[in-house]
Amino acid sequence: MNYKEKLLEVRDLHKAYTKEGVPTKALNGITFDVLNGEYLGIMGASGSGKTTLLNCIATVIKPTSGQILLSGVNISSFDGGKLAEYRGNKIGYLFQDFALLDNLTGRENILLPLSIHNMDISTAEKKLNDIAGFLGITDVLSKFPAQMSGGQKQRVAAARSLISNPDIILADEPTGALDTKAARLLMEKLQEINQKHGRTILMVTHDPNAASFCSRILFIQDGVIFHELRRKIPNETREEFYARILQVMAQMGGGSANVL
Amino acid sequence: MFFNLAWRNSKRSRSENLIYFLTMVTAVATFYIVLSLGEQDVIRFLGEIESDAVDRLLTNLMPTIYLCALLFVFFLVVFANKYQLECRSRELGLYLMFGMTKPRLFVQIMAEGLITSLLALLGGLICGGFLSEIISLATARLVGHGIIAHQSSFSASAVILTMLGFLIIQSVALFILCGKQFNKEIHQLLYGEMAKKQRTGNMGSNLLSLILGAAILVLAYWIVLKHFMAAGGAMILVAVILGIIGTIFFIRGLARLLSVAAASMKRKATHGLYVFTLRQLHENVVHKYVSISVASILIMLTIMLITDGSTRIMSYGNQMTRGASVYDFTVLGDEQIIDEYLSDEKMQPYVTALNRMETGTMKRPASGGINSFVDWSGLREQIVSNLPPNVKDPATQGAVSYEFGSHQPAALNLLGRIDTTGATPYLLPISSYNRLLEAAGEEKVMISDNEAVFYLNPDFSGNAQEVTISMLDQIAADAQASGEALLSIDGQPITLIPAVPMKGLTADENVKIVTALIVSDKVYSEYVNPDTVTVYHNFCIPSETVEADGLMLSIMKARDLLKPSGLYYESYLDNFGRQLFYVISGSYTTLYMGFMLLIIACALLALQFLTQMRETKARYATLSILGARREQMKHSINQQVLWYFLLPLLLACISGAVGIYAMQLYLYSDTAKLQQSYPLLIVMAIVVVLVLAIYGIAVARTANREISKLNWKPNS
Repeated sequence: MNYKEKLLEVRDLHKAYTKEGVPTKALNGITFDVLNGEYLGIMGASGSGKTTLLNCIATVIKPTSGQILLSGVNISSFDGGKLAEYRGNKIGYLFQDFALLDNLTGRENILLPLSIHNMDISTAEKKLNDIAGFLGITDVLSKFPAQMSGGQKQRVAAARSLISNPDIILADEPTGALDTKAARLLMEKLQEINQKHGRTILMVTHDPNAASFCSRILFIQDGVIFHELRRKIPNETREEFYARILQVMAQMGGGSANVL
Repeated sequence: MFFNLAWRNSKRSRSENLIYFLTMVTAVATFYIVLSLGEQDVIRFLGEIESDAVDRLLTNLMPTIYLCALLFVFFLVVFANKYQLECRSRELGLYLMFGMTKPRLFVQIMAEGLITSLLALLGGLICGGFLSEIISLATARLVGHGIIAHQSSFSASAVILTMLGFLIIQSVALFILCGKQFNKEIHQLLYGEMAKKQRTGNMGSNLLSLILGAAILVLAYWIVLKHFMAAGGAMILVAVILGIIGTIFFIRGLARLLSVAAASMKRKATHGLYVFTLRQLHENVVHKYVSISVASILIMLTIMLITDGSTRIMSYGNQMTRGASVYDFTVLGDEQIIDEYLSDEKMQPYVTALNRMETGTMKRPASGGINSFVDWSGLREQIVSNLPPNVKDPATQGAVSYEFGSHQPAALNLLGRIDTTGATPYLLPISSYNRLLEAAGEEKVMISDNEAVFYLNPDFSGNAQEVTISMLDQIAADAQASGEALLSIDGQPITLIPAVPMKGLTADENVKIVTALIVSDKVYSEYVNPDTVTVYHNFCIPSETVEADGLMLSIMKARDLLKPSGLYYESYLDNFGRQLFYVISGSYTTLYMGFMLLIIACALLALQFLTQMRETKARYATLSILGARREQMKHSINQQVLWYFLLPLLLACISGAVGIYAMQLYLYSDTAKLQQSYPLLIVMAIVVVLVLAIYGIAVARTANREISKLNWKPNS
């Protein structure tokens, strides 16, 4: 894995909301890099600004100031067609609530990003079958989301985020709505995608278990980076990493009760 | 505080549901128009001459129509308010959580409804009053020829009734809906129902539904076209029920087609939001097939009603031209009084071409084996030879009753007339008819005792008139040339004189003389049955008076002079009024109902679409995250709206076309009527399409605005 090349650079990112005249700072000058092929986790308490950060990277919201560079290109300057192109091809987004269109079948949901960009079907079909096989969702492709389990839905959503070969996958609490078993299966698949296929993943989570699959974790508090953890690869086991994560969480706020 | 909250909430619901609010304003306007009909210039004018019929219209027909319209609007109000209350379910739950009592909340919701209703009433009454005034002025100018004086059409009772009706349906609707909402647990109100299962419809049953629907519709069409009159009209009811069931099944089955289209178009599957658009439509059809079917049926009714209304206007419009009628007045009664009255100095300026027209049926032979003095056999033979090859002489078929109408050959109609009234035909003395011809500016006809003219009343033969008269003329001319007598009276051969102009006998179109024999005065007095003799005194208004006062005003003045006499009189104006009344009552009601149903159908479709749009708003946010451009989503929405309106419209057009064809076939006696109405029908079709387009565009714009409101914040 090539960890040297910077894929994503976040530089002095600020985001302030003004509600009824009262300004609230969600991000307060955050700076970090995501290297190519990295599996980066972002953890923090509710309101720490982690989802705001992810949404800024996904261009769902505009930062107040600062820069976000993907492969050296400033995405804040995008608009119109370039923005749509970025959203469709450069990033894959995995939502906590899956965000599948419930009136489309699994196959139609997965192919949607390609449809939107008018891609060729012949190459897409093979890719769809490969991804579906890998994620174990071949038999639900012709079903509607209502006919799938939570885990299946999230894996269909994962397949959708992978179909257009994005540079980076942004995952927002992907295990948040899943039971333990489904959450574990999804995390294993994401890890495989990261390790075997070298796909860069940026995941926001408050679940230490899910975070233990990452190679590096940034802890955010009050809009700034508070701490950083790196998994000692290949020596450190996941269980050991998990224990260290819990330690940091305890330091941050006297226990998980404050973090969650 | 209470009022402020109610005011703010009602303002919010108005702006969120502008289409619904504007539809309510339109509904109020139409209610007012129908209720203030009695104040319209034309109706007031008709009330003077056709008071019974106008009373019936205003006391029976119009209230029924008003109630029907209210009922339709009631369902629309229930639907729209249900949607709004469901949207606000969380807010209502919160009010209850904070300790607001249910009665208090009910009063607040009612107050909000009242504010919205009062504003809709205000807007609607202003629009309605304005439109009513325009309609009143326009119709008066169009048909009144300057005799109908304009008065304001404002009607206080119409305002009160409109307000009452509208407020009652609003209150009842809110009452029912609030009851439903308040029966829910607070938790249910706060967090909504369990997530709705995505119903995609069972594929097999959808296919069956499509085939069944199509089959039932075809059956309904077949019944309407082939057995319209069967079983005393019961078959129409069967066809209507089958039509409704067929439409519902067919629309439900369309889900299958859309699903197949979404799944099978592989080539297009990766093209933009094609699949998404189809799936959105598919979902809409699966969930709302009943509403779409109802909209389709309403649009079909609209098409038929508007066609019917337009046809009435155009066909009666033709009858309102003078045509063959010559006289302006016909007076019946004691001859001495009539003579005195008509020769009176005051009447003098209004009387010219006075014609004492006597007519009666022929008497029967006093004894002997024969039934009638007339022998029609010669003429009958000639007419039979003019029958089309596939039609047989009804007399040889043992016919006991005859049908008349322009849908059958002219010769057959004529045979029917001869066979039914030929034994004792009406007789007209030539001197009376010559005076009529003179008044019409035609040349007199001289006939001897062994000559006659076959008279055919031009007002009764409609469009077949020319064909029938030219056929008769041809027969008479041929016979005259070969010296053949076509009929005989009391054994005396009678030659028929061809090419005599046929004119209306009186000003009164109620006179039911369809055919008659015009004979010499001697033959008339010899053979007329004195018990059946009627004497009409016909006269025209002199042209100088008409030039000075106008025809309508002169007739009005003459009517006023004749009124105290106690004599029975009919004028051209009465006929005109009667025809005008048919036009107004027939066309006004059908056009009114047509447009009312159209607006309701459009509002129903619009609200349904926007409901789904709001329920699935998050999907558009997801699409935008996945990289869909705003134009792509707008295009998808426009396509959805287009097809959402086109699906019911297309089916309605097919069913409507069948309905119109059946109406033309069975209800209109003149096949040409529909063709005459083409120019007006085209205008009406454009108006209907325009109304649909306005609603469609309004829906698309509202939906697009919703998308713009997403503002790239899908997770918030």
